[in-house]
Parts: sequence; structure tokens; C-alpha cells
Amino acid sequence: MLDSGFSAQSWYQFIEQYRITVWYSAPTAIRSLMKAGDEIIRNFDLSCLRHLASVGEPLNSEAVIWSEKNFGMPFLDTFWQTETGSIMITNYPGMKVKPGSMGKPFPGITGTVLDAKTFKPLQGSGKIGLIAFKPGWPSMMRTYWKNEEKYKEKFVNGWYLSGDRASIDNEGYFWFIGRDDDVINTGGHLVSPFEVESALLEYPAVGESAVVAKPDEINMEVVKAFVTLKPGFTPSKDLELEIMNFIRKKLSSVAMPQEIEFVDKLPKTRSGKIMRRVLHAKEWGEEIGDISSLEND
Amino acid sequence: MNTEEMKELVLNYVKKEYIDDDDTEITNDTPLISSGYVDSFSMVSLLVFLENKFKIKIPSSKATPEAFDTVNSIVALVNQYLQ
Repeated sequence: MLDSGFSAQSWYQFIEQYRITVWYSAPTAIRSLMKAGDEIIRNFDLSCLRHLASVGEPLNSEAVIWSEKNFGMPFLDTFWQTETGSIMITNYPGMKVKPGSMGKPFPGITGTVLDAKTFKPLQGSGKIGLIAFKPGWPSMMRTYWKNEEKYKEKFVNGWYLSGDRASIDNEGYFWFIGRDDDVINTGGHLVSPFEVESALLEYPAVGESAVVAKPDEINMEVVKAFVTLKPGFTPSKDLELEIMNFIRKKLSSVAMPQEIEFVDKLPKTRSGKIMRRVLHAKEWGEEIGDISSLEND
Repeated sequence: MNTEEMKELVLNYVKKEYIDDDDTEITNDTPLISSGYVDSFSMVSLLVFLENKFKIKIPSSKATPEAFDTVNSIVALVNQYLQ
């Protein structure tokens, strides 16, 4: 009912009008409401609300604190996937909420973080590993449609691998770190960089492309493309717009790069593989790490 | 280019790029964002179009869904940066 466009006014009005009690939303929407300010909230009677939860992306601590201040209760972060079929890690009513944490495995679910090399549970708190669950929960997926091979790859050493990374603190709370692959989570929508890169290569002017996540205040991450041009083409803002619209129509607006940076060359290994992580680190202001395999000029 | 010509230019671009159904009636007052014709991810391409066409730079803080909601409000925003 509220899928077309977004306005804080229409959301609060909807809650008031229909006396919504349980509000399950997503961080991008919550951050957009935060941006709209606190004053507008006072115009509505939201006393009907009794439980707020969030899903789709990690919920930042500021959003939890903001909701506690403005609604008298925090948005409780929850973690699940289509593959899990039900909430796996969560802040459930009654437990202490640590703003910024995903919470703990839901009662009955065995969750841990695994060493990325040995696939054994990490011992000790604060170590970053792969979020994994003991298979056998009731709503677990049974396969990927016509892709049994991919399904089997999700189970290693007796654990289901979620594809996300986190650490666990000394009280058993999970703290989200990021995806274990290059998938971009933009406003709760997952975008495959490979798919966007492939589509970019179909545009006549594009020679090579690399797609990474770029930090964004509202959507957490947005799609950014680095592009080299074929001989005879020169970078311009008009070309950037044409490429954006090409991707938007070919894939979707979510996959459309929100920024295209034209570069002379892309960082590659000596074997010619594009080092996406170098570009990612640059966007996020992180250490680039080992670049010994980077090709020389 | 006067304001009416600017509105016509923006309206035609919006129709061409974002409206799939030729029968959809779009005017200078039609809500584009809040009615879902242009989603928030597509706003960036509209912003790039405006900056290219009018040779201006609109700060991202001003490129809000409210400012981009109708052709009239878009052109009002552009006019602020044309001086």
C-alpha cells in the first residue's frame, strides 16, 4: 500500500490511521525517517505501536537510539535470509539491546562464526568470521531451484554458510561486519557486481568495468562503477548519463551506478584479474592490504 | 531559455526516460517521486541530466525527493542555481 514513493508524513499517517502495532521496517527507511526530523513525529498519535523491528541491512546504533528516544522503544535488529526462512539472529523482546548489534541466535537456533579457512567455530570473543548455522531448523531451504550444486556449496563441515561475516562479543551478541562476497546491499536490495559489470560491457563505449559498493548515508551502500573507455571515446558527463540510463533500463534502477568514474586503467593482478578489493578499499577509506600481486605499469 | 521552455525540456525527458506507458498522463504538477514514477535510485540520473543540460551543480543536500517531486519543483530548484 505504501510502495509508491516515500514520505515520512505518509508513513506516520498510515501507522496512526490503521493503528499499527508491530512495525517491521528496514534501515534505509528508518534512516530516511530520521532525516525527516523529529518534529513531524509529534503531529501523529503513534501510541498504538508496541514492537519495532528492522531487517534487510545492518541497523546502525544511531537508529536504535533515535527510535528509543522518539517512539519510546528501540527498533530491534533481526537477521534472516530467504534461505533460512525465518529469523535466525535477533534482539527479541525482554533481552538487553546493544545498539548496533544484530542480537543473539533465536532460541532453538545454533549460530556461530567460523574461521574462513578451517570452517571451525572461532574461539574467544571479537574475532571476525563467517556467520553459520547448524542445519536442521524447521524452515531451512531444501534446495536452490535447479541448482543443487550451489545448494551443496552452502554446507561445509556441518554448518550452513550464510555468506555474511560478523564477530561475537563476550556476551554472545553478534556484530555484523559485511558480506563475505562482493554482493552490494543497497537499501536492502542485493546487487551482484558481476551482473552490472557484464551489462556495462554491452555498452559500446565501455572497454572494461569494475563495480563496487560506495558508502551512502541513506542506503548504506550504493553501486559505483569504474570504467575504462574504448579508443575513440572520451569521458564526459553526457556519457556518464547515457551509461546510467542504459544500465537502469537493462537491469534496474537499483543496479544503476549512482556514480561512474572514468579511469585510464583498472587495478589488476599479473594474471589479469581485476582487483575489485583495491577499488572498494579506496571508496571506504580502508587499508588496501596486500597488493604484491598487482600488475606493474 | 525561459522557465516554460525549461519545464517542457524536463517534462519531455521524464516522459522519455522514466514513463513506460505512453498513455500515462504526466503534467508539470504530477508527483513523480511520491507517485512512484521515478524511484529514489533513479533520481541520480535525473540530477545528472539537469546538471549537464543546464551546466549547474546542485548540492546533494538539495536534491531531495521533495525538490524532485514535480517538474515545477525541479525547475524551481534549477532556477536557484542558474544565476
